[in-house]
Amino acid sequence: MKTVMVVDDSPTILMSMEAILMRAGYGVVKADSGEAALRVLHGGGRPNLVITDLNMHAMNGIDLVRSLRQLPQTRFTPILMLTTESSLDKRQEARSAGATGWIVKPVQPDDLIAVVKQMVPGA
Amino acid sequence: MLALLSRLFRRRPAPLVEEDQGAKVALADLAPQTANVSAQDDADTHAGPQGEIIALTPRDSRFHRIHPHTMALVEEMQSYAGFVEIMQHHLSNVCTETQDAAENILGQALEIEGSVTGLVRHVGDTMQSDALLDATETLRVSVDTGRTVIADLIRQHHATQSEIRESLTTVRALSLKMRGHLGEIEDIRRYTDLLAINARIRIAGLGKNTGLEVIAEEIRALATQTGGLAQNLNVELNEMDRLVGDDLMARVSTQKRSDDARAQELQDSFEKLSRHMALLNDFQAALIAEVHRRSDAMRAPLNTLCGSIQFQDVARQQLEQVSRALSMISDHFVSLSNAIINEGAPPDSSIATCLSSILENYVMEQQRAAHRGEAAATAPKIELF
Repeated sequence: MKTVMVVDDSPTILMSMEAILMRAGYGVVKADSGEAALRVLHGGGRPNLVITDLNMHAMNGIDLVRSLRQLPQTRFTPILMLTTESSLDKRQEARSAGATGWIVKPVQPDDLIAVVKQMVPGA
Repeated sequence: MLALLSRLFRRRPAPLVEEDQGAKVALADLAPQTANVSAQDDADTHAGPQGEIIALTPRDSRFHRIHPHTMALVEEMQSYAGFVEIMQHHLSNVCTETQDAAENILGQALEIEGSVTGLVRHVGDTMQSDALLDATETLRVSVDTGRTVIADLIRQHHATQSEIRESLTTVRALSLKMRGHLGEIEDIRRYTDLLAINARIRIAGLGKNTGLEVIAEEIRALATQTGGLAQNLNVELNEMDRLVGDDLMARVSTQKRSDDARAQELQDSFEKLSRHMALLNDFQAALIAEVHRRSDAMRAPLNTLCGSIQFQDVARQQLEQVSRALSMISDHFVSLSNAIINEGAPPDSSIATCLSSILENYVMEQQRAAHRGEAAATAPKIELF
């Protein structure tokens, strides 16, 4: 089963993302912060896709993207930013950090799954 | 409320009235009703000629005058911090409650979905379970076997009936044949009788004691005996014809009609059983299809709910922005009040600066647009780099 890691400090977003992705046939690993996500990855996790929030309390999403690009197991893993942030500057910053795409909350489940399937086909 | 405001107010360090490097007099100690007599540490305060608050510093003897009305306004401005704190507390409660509600709604919805999915799986598993499939197959085979057996029995019954009728017909044909033989026997009797008569006539011509009378008498007796036998046979044949023709054939025909009717009923029952079994199979398939269809139909609104529930996170972030803005305004009021107390220059940040800072910190396009009083621009919601 293909696995998607969702990183967000909002329990509501984590719950809804888990429900949407699992219904589409993906396995889901949740992390409520960038640090928690890195702990999972250091513990051997190898997600097929990472979806991360941008504005989180300690490590922000862009810093997490930079960290993920340093790890061998996520160097080429697609990373989607899922955020309420809509500024073009931030998008550009995320792109430079190594993010693969940008999704503005709230997102319709069908739209999200369409993008996820594009990134991780064959769930 | 006043107690709460007072409590919240105390959370912030009381702004101090500072005079150069001199003594410090707590603002709380400078309330108009107590200012005339208050003093702290090595500083001294007393009321001026017009009732103004005077804070004296012992080292350079400089003092600072604040009119009681101004002091009241300063206190009013300082109390905004408590007011803001209460509002922030409310906002925090709204965030927490909507967070709990959103989690609860989503959790319940997913639980319902889980139950329905479990039910669908159970129905599907049961309908397609080996036991049910075996039972259905066994029933179908039994019905087919029953139909075949009934058809064979009916066929055999018809064959037996036909054989019986053929046998009875043969018996009647034999009876007719025997009647023919009886006719021949009667002819022989008549001929024998004639022979006996002729014999007696010839004997009469030869005279008595020829010994031929005995032979003639024997021939006549033979003719009489043959006639009696033929008559008996005729009576018995008539009885046999009656039994075979009227009774047995009638009974066989009646039994055949009755058996045919029962066989038809049995056959009809098996046909109905077979049709109902087919109907049950159709209902079963339709039920499974309907359960799956409704399960799929339920997924669509649940999926929408999963998307819509994200409103809580969006609303939370907007409320956090409002809370930050309130803090900024509160701090601004504190800066203004401190400037008044210290008779210093206005604070560096104006309310316009605050607004500008708030605008820069927005993360949503609709917030920026609402701040500027404009319509939100339509940036792509999904962008792949």
